[in-house]
Amino acid sequence: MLSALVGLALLLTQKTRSKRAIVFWGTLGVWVVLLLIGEWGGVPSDLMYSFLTSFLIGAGIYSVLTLGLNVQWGYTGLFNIGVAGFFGVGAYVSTILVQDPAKMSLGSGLEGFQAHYFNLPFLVGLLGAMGVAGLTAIVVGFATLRLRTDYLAIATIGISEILRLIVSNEPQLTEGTRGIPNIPQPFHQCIVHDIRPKAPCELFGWQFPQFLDPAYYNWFYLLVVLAVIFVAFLSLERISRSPWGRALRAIREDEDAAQSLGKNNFRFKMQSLIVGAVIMGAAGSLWAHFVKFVSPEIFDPVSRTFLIWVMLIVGGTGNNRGAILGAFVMWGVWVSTSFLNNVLPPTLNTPLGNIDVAAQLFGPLRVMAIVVILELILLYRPRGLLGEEKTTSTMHESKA
Amino acid sequence: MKHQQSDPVKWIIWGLIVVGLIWSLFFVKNGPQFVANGVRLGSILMLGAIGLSLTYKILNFANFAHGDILIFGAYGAFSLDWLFVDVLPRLIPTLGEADHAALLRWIALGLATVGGAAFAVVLSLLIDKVLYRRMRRSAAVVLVIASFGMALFVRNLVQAVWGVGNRSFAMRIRPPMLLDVGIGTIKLTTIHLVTIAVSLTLVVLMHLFLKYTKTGKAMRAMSDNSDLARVSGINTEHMIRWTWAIGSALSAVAGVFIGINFGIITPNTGNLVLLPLFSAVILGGIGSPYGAMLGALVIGIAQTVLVAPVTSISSQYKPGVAFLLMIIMLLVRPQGLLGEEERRG
Amino acid sequence: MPLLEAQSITAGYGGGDILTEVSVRLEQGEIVSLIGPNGAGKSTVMKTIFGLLTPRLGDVVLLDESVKGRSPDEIVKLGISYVPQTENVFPSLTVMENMEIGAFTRKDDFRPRVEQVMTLFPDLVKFLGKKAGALSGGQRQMVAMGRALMLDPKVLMLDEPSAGLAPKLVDEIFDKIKEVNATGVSILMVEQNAKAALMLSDRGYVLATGKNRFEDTGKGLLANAEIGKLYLGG
Repeated sequence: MLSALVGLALLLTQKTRSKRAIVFWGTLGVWVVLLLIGEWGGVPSDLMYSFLTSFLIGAGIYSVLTLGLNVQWGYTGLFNIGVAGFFGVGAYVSTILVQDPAKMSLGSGLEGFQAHYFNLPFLVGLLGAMGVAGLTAIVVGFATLRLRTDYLAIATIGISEILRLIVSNEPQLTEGTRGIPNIPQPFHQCIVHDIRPKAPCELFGWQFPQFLDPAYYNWFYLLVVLAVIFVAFLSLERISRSPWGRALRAIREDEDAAQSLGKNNFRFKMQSLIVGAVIMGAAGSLWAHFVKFVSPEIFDPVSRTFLIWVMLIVGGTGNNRGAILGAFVMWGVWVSTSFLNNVLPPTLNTPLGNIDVAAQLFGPLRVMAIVVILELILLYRPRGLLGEEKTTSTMHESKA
Repeated sequence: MKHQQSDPVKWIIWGLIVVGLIWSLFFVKNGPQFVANGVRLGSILMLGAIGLSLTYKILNFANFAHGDILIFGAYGAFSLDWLFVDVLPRLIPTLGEADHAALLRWIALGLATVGGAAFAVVLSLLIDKVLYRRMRRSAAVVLVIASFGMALFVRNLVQAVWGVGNRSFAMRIRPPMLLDVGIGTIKLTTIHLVTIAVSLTLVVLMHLFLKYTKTGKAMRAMSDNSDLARVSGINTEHMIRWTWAIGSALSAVAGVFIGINFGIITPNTGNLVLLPLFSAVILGGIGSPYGAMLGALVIGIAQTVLVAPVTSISSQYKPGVAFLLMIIMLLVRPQGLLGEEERRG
Repeated sequence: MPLLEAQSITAGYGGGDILTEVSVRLEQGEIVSLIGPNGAGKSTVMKTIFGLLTPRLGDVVLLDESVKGRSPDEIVKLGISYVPQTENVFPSLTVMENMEIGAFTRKDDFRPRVEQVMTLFPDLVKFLGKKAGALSGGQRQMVAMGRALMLDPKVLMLDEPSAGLAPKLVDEIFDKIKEVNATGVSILMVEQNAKAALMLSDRGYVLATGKNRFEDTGKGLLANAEIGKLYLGG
């Protein structure tokens, strides 16, 4: 309640009129209104806030993904349709590194896990995810970066497909299609206070106080996600203004010209691909530890590649703030359509026969709505919400 | 434009193909059967690849929605098939008799396929009118993104209308329908033969169309140079509509064949078949319908032969074969086997 | 009344204007050349007349009828044909098929016209069945012109017909242009090789930075020392 009022106060005191400000504060305003409605509608506080944190974490992780894509596509013009691949690789690697075999069956009663796990701290998982994603990018890069844009697109689809095939078919490594449940969360054991007493974590002789109520753990996780976004955003903004960033942009605008200036295009493209992939891998790790479960489904091209492209395009290609904004906006669209699913019964009886609501109504309509938004943006505002009008347009060719 | 110079890469690739074919036929256990199956798969892919190749060249973008339009047409045909099998005996009583069952099935399927093709044509023309037409001058990447979006749109449309489960054609029911024709050690079912025969016929018709009709020549002209075609007085929008129509009609037939040869179709089948189709197009050379045919056969045979006998590789990896061949081709000779040196980017 | 006229054209590609109030006139039976330095906008004038670009201001008039804003396939039907500078044949089509495409909008049989056109380009007769892409540069240029002549145009617009050709072929091409003109086709051409073009032309225009600079008879421009220094390379 308090936070809603604070938000409202902030909103009302804003005086700026620039378009960006309007969009930003407008979004915030919508949130504040929703929160207020929720309060007055008698929705229990913790449900609302738990939904809010889940939403923010999801949006945050997707922001990281979108930032990664912005490096590859926004800065350098690499048409990567294999985002899901780097994301999934990050998720799996982090899981494998952090998972504790002894705890896997806890609570679920599932047995017979084959793969090997390392039970290392979260940070190792995160860094490992980033590293392996980067290595994957190197392999992918060698196979595909010399190709022209649309060929690169076709090739990168195959890559996430192949990764999915490998993960599904090698249970020794990844439990195959069964997936890996019960993934541990960072510091969960240390700071969450549990009904069953457990040994506290120690760091340099200092004992972590187990103060957190389990229901509020997600707030902590949100802080972790925000920290990652923060670091990523700052680094990328820095990079963007550096000579390296300018070189990438030159390649995006006109490859041949950049080449003739003596820049080694391939090297820059590869570096860009790697940086983007590393960021995507980090997002994958964050996702795995949030949802606590991975399976080959994580390589889904719709929600883990296409959705991110839409986020970036809607937000403004080439613009880091736009990437984050687009992520939050589209995640909102994505998640809000799930209300339909919760509100309607599982099957509807219509004159044309039974309709399975989840599979035939909510699922498809959700995707179709996202597509319509994308196409509208492409047709009428290709620079996205926060993108700038380009001086040399890459969206339109002029036939001179 | 250079005169024909000796092109070692091209001959090496041709050589590899011939060697591969010989190896498959003679040195692989059950080789001829696999090659026959591969030819069947290739015939199906051919129909899909021709349209993809033409739209790629004439409209200048990679249409990611091609596979989903293919399956949309197939689903349309599927519904019509069940309808016709039901309705036709009532209109023409003799078809209802037991010994005319086979005839009924084929007639129903034939009509349904035509209907399905019509669905696909209408949908693709609609999408072009609403979306792609406003992007004629856009950069290739914008069109790719837009078509990727349309791919998802059509796929979900199919799912919304027909549901998520597997669908089989009314065809699929009776064993008495299947004949075995043994040629040497090859067993070919009726369906197998019909697929190859019909594909071949359609392809020959395409060839005649392109070579001898005015519209066909105009399409070839547009494929070479659409600006010059315009300058010569050809109504390019009209030709573009023809391109969509031919491409999607052929794809729908391919989709029906996938359904009756492999038993089932799902909303995701279009997506699954897209990668082999792209591989076929790139292998053969973008813009060359003959290249698409050749590429499709190569991919079809390769995909069937290369995975089957090497049993340690799960057959799940089959699409990987197509993909690998495509990457190799892109790195080694991006204009394909029958394409010319680099086109304008 | 002039056959074809661009009246005070201001046009550009959406970034900024390339042409500012450019006027060009073509009388019946003339050969008119547009010359000038690179980037002067000569090709843009051609494209505007032919409908590949719509002028922001000004008009394009064919025999008293405004054709501004019409699409190329309509303009072709009105009797103007255009030969672009590069990529002006269909390489995978045979020479005969190239002619057939040129005659696309004809309602009658195109074959008699092919014979007529071939009298202008007798060297091409033996190549009729050959793919245009396999021919040499000079031969392709002739195919390009032949294609454009298939519709019996009143006006033939040529964009740098001698570009990329060896000097001997340049002479041949200009001879051909003269022959074509003798059959009653008025010619408007853009040329980099200003001297050769002007020697052939009845009149000429010098364009620079998107504006008219000079206009005179062919001989007059050739004799003009100032132009000679600035634009003809001596």
